[in-house]
Amino acid sequence: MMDMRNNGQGPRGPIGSDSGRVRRGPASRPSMPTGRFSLYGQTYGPRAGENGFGALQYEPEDPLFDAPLGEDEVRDQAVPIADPPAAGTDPDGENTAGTCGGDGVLAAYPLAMVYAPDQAWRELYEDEEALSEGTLFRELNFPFCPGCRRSGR
Amino acid sequence: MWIYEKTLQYPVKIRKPDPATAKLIVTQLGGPDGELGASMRYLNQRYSMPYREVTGMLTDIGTEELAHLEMIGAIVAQLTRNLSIEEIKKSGFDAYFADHTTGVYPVAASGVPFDMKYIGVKGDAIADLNEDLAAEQKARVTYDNLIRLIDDPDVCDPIRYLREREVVHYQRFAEPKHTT
Amino acid sequence: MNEQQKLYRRIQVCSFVLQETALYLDSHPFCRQALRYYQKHRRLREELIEQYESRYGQLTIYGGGASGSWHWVTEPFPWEV
Repeated sequence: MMDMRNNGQGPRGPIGSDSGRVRRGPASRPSMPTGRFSLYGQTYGPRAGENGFGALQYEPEDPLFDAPLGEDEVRDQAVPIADPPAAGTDPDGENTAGTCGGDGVLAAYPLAMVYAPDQAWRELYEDEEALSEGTLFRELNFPFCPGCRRSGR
Repeated sequence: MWIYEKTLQYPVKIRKPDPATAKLIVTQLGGPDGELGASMRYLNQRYSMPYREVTGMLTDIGTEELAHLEMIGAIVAQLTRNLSIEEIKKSGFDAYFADHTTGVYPVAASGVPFDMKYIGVKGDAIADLNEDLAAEQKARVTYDNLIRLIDDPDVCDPIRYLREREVVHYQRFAEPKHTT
Repeated sequence: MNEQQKLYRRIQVCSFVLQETALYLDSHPFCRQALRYYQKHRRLREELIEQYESRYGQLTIYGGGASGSWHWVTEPFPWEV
């Protein structure tokens, strides 16, 4: 995808549409579809109780994150609510770069942009087979999964 | 401008007419995620696209979608040939038949006629390309659903082909980058 | 398949390969391999079209006039069974 900032001289790189095993924070890039679906032989999507951000399976680092709403007592006991640090200070290091989120491979790329892997010219089918398969490129051939007869599987 | 070539992009040879199937297939002609919408979307987005690589892509994929809507028309036409009135009534094709006989009229599977409101042309490169990515996935899902619903291999063969084209188009729309 | 059908099929196959290559070139306009591949198939397609049109009738409105009649409307359209 083009990056319209920097006069369109955006980088390109792998899109976040991977196999869904990437750890990310909540409210992650909303370019992913929601709901369970089968695609290219794999199944994606949230299971019951998860947030609706598609293939990204959230693994919380904070054990209190998935505490059910209403259990204030449990939350309050575990984390005392402190005053925010004074302006210009960061006594607990909350504002410094930590280990939450941040995609290592795409770290150099601007946020709020969709990226896709660039396809190489390789692994071509023979002509006749290309028409039958519906593509010239073996790497782009993702047939409908024959076992996935019902939605959500 | 367009030149018509007297070939189908992929063969369509349906041996057994089946109007019930035709009612489903026609959604890829006149439905919200069908080929008519796709071609109108891409061909109209071209004019405001500031990058020639993308204008070229939209022209070529938009033209290919016209070829696909011809394939869908061919499938529907072949599925609705030589029908008896009894077959028409039994299959639920009678409502469509009342208005269109066995003409090929762009409607959705629900019977709603094609509407240009299905498409987006925002005049912005990023918005339009994201619209196109979504459109290709929605079309792919519709083909998934048709494959789930239809048993006739003569019909499923061109449908699988068209589905794979959506997958390829998705990759093509995801790739463009500005080169200066 | 008779001879006409075989030639028609070869045109479908070659046209499809060209279409796929053209789409790839749209986002990779300087890929030499793709351009060579495209040129090879373009030449092949031109030969196939010329053979087909001289024997069986025109495939576009620009390919007519070879014989005494306007084959555009005397030969079947591609969706006819």
